[in-house]
Amino acid sequence: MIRTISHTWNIKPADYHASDIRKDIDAFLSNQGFDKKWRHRLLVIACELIANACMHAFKARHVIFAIKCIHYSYKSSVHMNIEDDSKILLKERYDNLAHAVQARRLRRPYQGIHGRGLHIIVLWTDRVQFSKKRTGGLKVSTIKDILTKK
Amino acid sequence: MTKFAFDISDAQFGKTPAKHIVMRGELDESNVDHHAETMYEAIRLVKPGTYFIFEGSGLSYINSKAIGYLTDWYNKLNEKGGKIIIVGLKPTIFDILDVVGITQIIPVYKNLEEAEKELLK
Repeated sequence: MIRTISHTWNIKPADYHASDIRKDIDAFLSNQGFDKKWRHRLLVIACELIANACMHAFKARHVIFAIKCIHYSYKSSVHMNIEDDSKILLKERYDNLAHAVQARRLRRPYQGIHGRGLHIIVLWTDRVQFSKKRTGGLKVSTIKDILTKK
Repeated sequence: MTKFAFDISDAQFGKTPAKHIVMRGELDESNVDHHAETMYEAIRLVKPGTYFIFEGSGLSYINSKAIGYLTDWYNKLNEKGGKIIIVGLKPTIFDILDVVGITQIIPVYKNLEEAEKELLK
């Protein structure tokens, strides 16, 4: 049997409390049957995606963050999506992110002060995809498959 | 603002002057800029060659921005001939420091006794 559970958060970057969102997401993840290590890793990935979106979403009023866990008998597939409703997408922002993902995959340890959030997201997921929204703004999607312990 | 505190006290690591820094709470984007200032001030005031020993058993969350600051404190202290040592981390916090390669730069030990045993041989 395949079981799918999802949850969506509508976050206002101007009124955003990192610890409140973190508690909410942790509560959601705590019911998905992940071990302690992956529960924390997924929490970190989610919080880094949200923090980046809230910090860099130019003039966005809302950031929509969604997690979907698809539980198969042998694995759980965790999909995270985040998008902002900004009307502005700087081309450099998109290009830099796409380039940075490739660079992070090749370089370890990373020595810079900034950019570790992306580094963590890339290394702890199987796929990271950036897409430009037609209306402006950015959408980031990640997928992580976690094998179920028998 | 997320709850967090640094408790800083004077200590000795072998014969080296040290600061013992106990971390309690969660470090994230809402509070790290504020607490980073405390650390920069401490680094500015210490004698050259001072060790900073971070006790992490009370640290329950750290985000990428805080890790960035940790790297910068390491660099600043290194310039003064000092060192950072981290002890007592929870496995989940060690995991995140490890994935970004911090554990290859800053030595991490289970506890202070293990750090002394390794570094004061």
